[in-house]
Amino acid sequence: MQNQISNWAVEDKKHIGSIENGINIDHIPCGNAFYIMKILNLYKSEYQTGIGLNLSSKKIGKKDLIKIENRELSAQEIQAISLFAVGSTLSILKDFKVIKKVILAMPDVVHGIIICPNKRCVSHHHVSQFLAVANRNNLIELKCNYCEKSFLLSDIKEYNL
Amino acid sequence: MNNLISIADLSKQNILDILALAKQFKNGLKKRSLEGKVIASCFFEASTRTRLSFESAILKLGGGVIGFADSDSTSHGAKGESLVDTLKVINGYADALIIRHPLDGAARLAQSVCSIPVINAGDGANQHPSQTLLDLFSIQDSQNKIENISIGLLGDLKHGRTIHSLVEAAKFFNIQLYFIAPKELRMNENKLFQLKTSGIQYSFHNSVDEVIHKLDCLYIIRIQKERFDESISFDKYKLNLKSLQNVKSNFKILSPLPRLEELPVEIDATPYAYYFQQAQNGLYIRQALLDMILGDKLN
Repeated sequence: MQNQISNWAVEDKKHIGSIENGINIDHIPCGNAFYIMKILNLYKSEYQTGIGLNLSSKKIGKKDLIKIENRELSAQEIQAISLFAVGSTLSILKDFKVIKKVILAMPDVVHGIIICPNKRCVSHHHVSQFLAVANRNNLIELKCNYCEKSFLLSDIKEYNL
Repeated sequence: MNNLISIADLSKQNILDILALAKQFKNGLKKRSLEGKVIASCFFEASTRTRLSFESAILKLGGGVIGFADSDSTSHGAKGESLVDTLKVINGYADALIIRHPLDGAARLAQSVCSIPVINAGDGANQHPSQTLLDLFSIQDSQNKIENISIGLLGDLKHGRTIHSLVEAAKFFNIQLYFIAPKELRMNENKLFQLKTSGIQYSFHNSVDEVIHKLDCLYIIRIQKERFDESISFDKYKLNLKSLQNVKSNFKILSPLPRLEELPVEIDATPYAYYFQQAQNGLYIRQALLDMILGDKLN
């Protein structure tokens, strides 16, 4: 079993499979594939999907990976998944070839997804809105547009997905 | 800009313009700039000074007031109507909304759903910008200047919203801050980081006597003892007449009030007590704010 997992890590293409047309989200920070699956509703979709968790990565140590056949992403979906995939690579494939590749960046504004950790925040009764603010020590920081409190992304534990 | 939601929305020039107009009102300026306007004064939470000074300011400017002093008498409080629906309804009845609400961010939410100007009269533990402006006005009025002042902040620095807004504004005026509080009630790390990046000078002190001789103003915030462990001693954080022996001649004591034992009544008779004048200054600041916001002059 351990050998098989190692093989997956080395050759995720072979074990998760290549896709002909669709998208490949690679170098997802380990553990965040779960959130992306929820945002893209992959639990209930009919798209053929490959998911790799805890794969070895030369770039980030451990990574998650998602490949979806015949799926396109709207600008809104890209913005939403970017919250959990800063620095990840989104590749769009056609006839087994990468026709577009983008590095996902932190969106300037995040609507509705984050549940404000401040229990006294009015956004619990409305749609939340978070703004990306200047990084502190290279960590991702977000500010609630309503209660004006700032949180490190790693301190945000609840999401409305 | 025709709203006042957060002190962070104001530039230094905005603040100076508001303070200058407030000074004119204090010196006797009479205006009827709200004639024919109806202002909704919606206090979903109790208030004495803020509500009455806003309503007095509206009446002095010739406007009319509708509203409520607590949420129990509203459909929001009594029948469970959502805050957004309540705000949308009020939006149709008034020319401006003054809102106090116990939840953080309620005023920003009001701004996002209302087309009329919105003034934040306190949203939970977040902001109370008109209080900050009247604090700045009181500093300026009592010291005849606002730049390069040394202010001691005494009391609950962790939870007090007035303190958070005041220190935010300090960056504009090169104000030196002396924090005097038990370590359990110090300002949180996030706020201190913001102060540091704004270049504000601050230091921590364990008793008022340690620094009182250096101060131009001492700003006292109530400590709500019921919120803390009984083992925390607050004795070093109370003011007394003996502490005032070595203060500077221009020294003044400010407080947003209400007060408890941290600011004993015997201080009232000293030349240093400024807090009741400070409360009165709330009227002039709110006249200035209403005049500027309704006249679309706060650019």
